[in-house]
Amino acid sequence: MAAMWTRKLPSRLQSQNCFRRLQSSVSAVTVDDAQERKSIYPPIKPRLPPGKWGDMEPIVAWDWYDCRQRFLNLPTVAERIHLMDTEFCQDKRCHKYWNFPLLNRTPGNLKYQQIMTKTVLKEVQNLNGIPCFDKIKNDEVVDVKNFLGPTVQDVLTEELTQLDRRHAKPLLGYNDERVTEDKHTDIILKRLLYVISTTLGNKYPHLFDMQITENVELSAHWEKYGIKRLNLPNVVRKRHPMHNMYEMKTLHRKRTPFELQLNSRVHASGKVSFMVRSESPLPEFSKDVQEAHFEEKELKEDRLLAWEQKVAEEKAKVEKLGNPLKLDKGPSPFLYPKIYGASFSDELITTNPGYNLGDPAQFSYMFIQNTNKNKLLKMEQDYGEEYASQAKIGWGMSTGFAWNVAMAHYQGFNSYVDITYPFTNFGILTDGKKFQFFANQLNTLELWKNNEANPIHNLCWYTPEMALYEAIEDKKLVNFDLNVLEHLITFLLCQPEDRGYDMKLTIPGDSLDRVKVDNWIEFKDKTPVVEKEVVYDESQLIH
Amino acid sequence: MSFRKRPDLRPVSRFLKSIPLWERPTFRYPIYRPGNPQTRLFLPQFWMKIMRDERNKSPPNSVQFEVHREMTKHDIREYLEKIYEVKVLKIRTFTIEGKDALERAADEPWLRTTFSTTDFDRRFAFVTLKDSTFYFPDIAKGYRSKQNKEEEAEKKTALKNETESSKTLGIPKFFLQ
Repeated sequence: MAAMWTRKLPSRLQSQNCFRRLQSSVSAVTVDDAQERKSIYPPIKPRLPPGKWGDMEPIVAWDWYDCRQRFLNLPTVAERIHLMDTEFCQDKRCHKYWNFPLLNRTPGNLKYQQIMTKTVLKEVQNLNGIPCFDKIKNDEVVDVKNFLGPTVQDVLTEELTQLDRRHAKPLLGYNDERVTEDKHTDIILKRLLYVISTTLGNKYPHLFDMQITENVELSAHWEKYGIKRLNLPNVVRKRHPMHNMYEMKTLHRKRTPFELQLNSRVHASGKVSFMVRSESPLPEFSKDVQEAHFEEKELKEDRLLAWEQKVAEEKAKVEKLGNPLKLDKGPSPFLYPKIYGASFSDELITTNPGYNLGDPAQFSYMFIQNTNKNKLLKMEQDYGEEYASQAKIGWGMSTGFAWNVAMAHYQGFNSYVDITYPFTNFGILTDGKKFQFFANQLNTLELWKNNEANPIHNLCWYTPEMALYEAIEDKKLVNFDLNVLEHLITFLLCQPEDRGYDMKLTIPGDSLDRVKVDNWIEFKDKTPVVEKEVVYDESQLIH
Repeated sequence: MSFRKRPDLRPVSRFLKSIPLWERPTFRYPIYRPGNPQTRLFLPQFWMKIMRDERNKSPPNSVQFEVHREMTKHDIREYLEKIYEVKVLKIRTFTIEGKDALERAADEPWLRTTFSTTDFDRRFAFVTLKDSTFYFPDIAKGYRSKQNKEEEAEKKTALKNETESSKTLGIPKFFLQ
């Protein structure tokens, strides 16, 4: 065998080797030679990439890091979204995703929604406690309230008493003119929005410029830590490796990052009754995210809490008797969304914040959801008012969150490239009579990280449901409550401003997205048409 | 002259007899006819069996059952609320179809004759309770305590033997014999 190898070497090389050997044996080693012989190794790769990673496997962490670099190399938002939809789609990266409906109708699912979106809920009587409302003056609010009160009353009385909206189904044939109750409330809300923007638009220009869209589709997706991935490719179900070809075939190698991931994609989609957008963003609601009040209990499943309580009780018993502690197998630490009534699917998904790329009004201001829906009424009938109100809170929270996430995607961020500043929006849930107010703030998109690695969480403030008026008697509103209108006015007076820092920090300076477009339609230059007078020349006539 | 249909008192067919009682389909409920007394079925073959949640992944206010395969959600709710007075919030049910298989005769397996069999369908119900929690009881507790006592007794005897043998200053037993 050895002869075979030597024969393969070219003769010239063999001779050189021989010469070297001879030289080294003859001459002494100099200092310069020793320096030359220092071996140069490639730079040592650290175990984990920069940043906090918690208990994540190094291969997985490096995978996430490399993906992040890949996204950062792309100069425009459109390219990043395209990459997300094609290379990082559910077929290649996560195979299947969990559906996350905005209005979750399974009872008692509020905590599940909180865990999936990693938001801490805070119930407040007044949203004035949020620091961004400090700038608004009380006198201004009173002025606007006195000005807006009668007009709102007029609209409501006109819609509810004077106008004949046909709620019933016509007897025969054409169904076109029928206005169902929920559509009627949509009309009322629309009228109110337009009244506000036109009457207050002169004084407050941001209200005049805001864009209102109706019945908008919204979809967003993110990765959540603690959920096992569904059905890896070619794995039908967990069986003995003897039967399982995939496991059998891959026994010889290490697990890939794809197989070691402990997170899965969540896809929120739904409709929003009204979206109000503006060109500049709302101010941050709370600036010190790390110091905000947050207990681990708030974002822990009930079964885990119950288990902890049980263990504590057992320990107390054991200490009294002096016996050794014996416990059953504890609960699994993973989250199983199937138990909370969630479904999964594997169709192609995209992000959609309700506007196209390049729209000047690219920041959220406020969303309004119409709660006058049969679905909610059905829920009240089936499970009671308590659970229906919980579902409403979850609805407001998750729509705000999903909208923020989708909007962050359109600013060049995603779950690989974390956001550099918080996204905020306001929200209202109404049926025209009862109002509930929300304020959402998105602080991180790195939900795929461990709680230890990423302690930052998202925030949501909400008020209890308040009635604008009690009833209608003799074609008049009874007990019209101006305090409820005050909440709405504080929302309206909170002006969106330039935050003073770069909103697309991860996108390079010479990118096309930075160019501010003023002329959306390029007018063609008019070329003057030259008309020459044809002179009749008799001489050219052919006889 | 009454038009009421008499209750079906025919004996169970030979085919049905081969099926165990809890797997049998329920009797058809007598059709309603006006007039009294009504013909009623007083002992339906419905049953519910609590299952242990092996991975312990469900919330504390939920219980998992295997139920008779003809029970509907309404039946399950009625069963729990009327008999056990448990308030039910929500029920999720699903069935697992029985699998087909070719079997050989038990008495003459060397013969080539086969016949196709199907397992019974199994129906499961995940029930969430209202205002109450449920823990699967520790069934093996009594057995375990009994086992522990036996173990302790064994240890005692072993200790006794040891103390006896220790008097001989480390000489093995076979040597003594």
